[in-house]
Amino acid sequence: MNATLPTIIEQLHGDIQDRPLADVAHAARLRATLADGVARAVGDHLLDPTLIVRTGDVRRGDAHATLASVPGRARGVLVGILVRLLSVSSVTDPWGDALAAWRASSPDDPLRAAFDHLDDDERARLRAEVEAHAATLGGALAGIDPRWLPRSNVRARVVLGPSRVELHDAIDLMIGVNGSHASVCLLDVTSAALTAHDDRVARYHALVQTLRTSRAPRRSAIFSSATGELLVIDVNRDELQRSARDVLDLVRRRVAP
Amino acid sequence: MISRRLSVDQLRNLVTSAPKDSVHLHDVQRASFAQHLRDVARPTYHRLDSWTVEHSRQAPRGFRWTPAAARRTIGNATLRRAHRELTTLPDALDHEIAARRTRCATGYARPGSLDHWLGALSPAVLALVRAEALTWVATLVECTRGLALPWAVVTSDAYYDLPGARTTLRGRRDLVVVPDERRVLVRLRPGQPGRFAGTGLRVDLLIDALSDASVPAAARVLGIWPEAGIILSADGTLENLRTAARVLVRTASAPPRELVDQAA
Repeated sequence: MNATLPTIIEQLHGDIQDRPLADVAHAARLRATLADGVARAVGDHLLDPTLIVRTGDVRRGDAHATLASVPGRARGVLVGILVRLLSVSSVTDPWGDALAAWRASSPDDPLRAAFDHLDDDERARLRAEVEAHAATLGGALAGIDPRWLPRSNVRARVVLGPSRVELHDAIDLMIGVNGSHASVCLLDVTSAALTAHDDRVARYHALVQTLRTSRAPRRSAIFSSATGELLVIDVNRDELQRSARDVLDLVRRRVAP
Repeated sequence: MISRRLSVDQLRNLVTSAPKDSVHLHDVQRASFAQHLRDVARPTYHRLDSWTVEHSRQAPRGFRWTPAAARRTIGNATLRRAHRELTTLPDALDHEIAARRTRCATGYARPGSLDHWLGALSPAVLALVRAEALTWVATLVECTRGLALPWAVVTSDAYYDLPGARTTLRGRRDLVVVPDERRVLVRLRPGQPGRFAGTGLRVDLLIDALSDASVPAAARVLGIWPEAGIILSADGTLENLRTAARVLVRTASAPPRELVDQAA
């Protein structure tokens, strides 16, 4: 489902009556599928160094990272911080608040040192960009009920079998708490526009969350703070299996001679 | 050492299957341990915990408060407060932060302490502290939801000051589960379990046992790594406690690896 909506949290959380029962049985099958696939791709030797699959790899569909510019990376960090701030409070001065929070949270971040060396023109341009992203985010994230226990920057590292393949992930915002019904919703906020491959990323988040907690989440979504676009998938076994195939394709390409 | 995937069923199984026989550390064992640490004591004050054991090859870095460093203390206090005051977690979190800032404003917070640091923060950094603490406490709630066994958030870490050795031991613990007369300690850990994670758990177990002579050692300690979805457990056996004591003495006697490398 693709939509452009001013508020997304209530749409993600949805009607409490519509929640399906929590799927606690499929994680084991996914682990077995992934372990078998990795063993076939890698053979019986240990990978050295560890092969790490990250969200960016899934988004690009390959393993070759392109290094963004300092303003581009700083924009991503500041937008990520704004999501965290907006998940628990309102933000009146997006640029100042995000910068203050960044300074307090990562005193030794090398990106901060590079950011401090931006010239006035680059900094002014970045500030305008961040404030525009904040305006989009502020409208979109309004209405987070504290009872949904918003968790931000939730990291995951799942090891697949003994071959040294790891799936790394970070969810910008997670709402809802596990119970007898599927209630957890995942939200990834990107400061770029959505692409045709973003459904793969939404599935990947759901896959890693399922492997980590042994429970499938209810929904996984990606929101672009640049354009206000939202992509939501209802997580089910087909989506999780598709994501497992995406991951195995990626691993095969990475280990291919 | 037992390793399991993180789920509430596995957590419950690991608690209920903890050893029934309890171990009590006697005065002779305490005195012997203290003597070993006195023998290797350094001229300066020394603090040992599971972190120093697990990272004994690294030189200690200076500590400073950050929102991530504050999340455990504030998150655990929030959960305790929510249970005590029968309030929601977000409300309990707001009350907890307000109470700590009040301590600072009224001059009761020691410079360098968490409350002192909180008292000087801007609203933006406070919001980040709130986000970190809420994420921590929600993870704790997620791990224990449906456990169906009596549990509580511990009021503090375990501390044991060794007489004459100028050494303080600190055992970290987040929850205690009490299925019957046994106690099972639970620790929430960030990241992935490292090579010495099991040793760190045994050290926490030992320091908990040393800190209160009136109760037997915990039957088991569970380390939960939510990021990796893994639970590790170590039993409160005499063998595990002895292993932890040996590791602590070895760590106290060895200079940090980086200092050795620099000297070479």
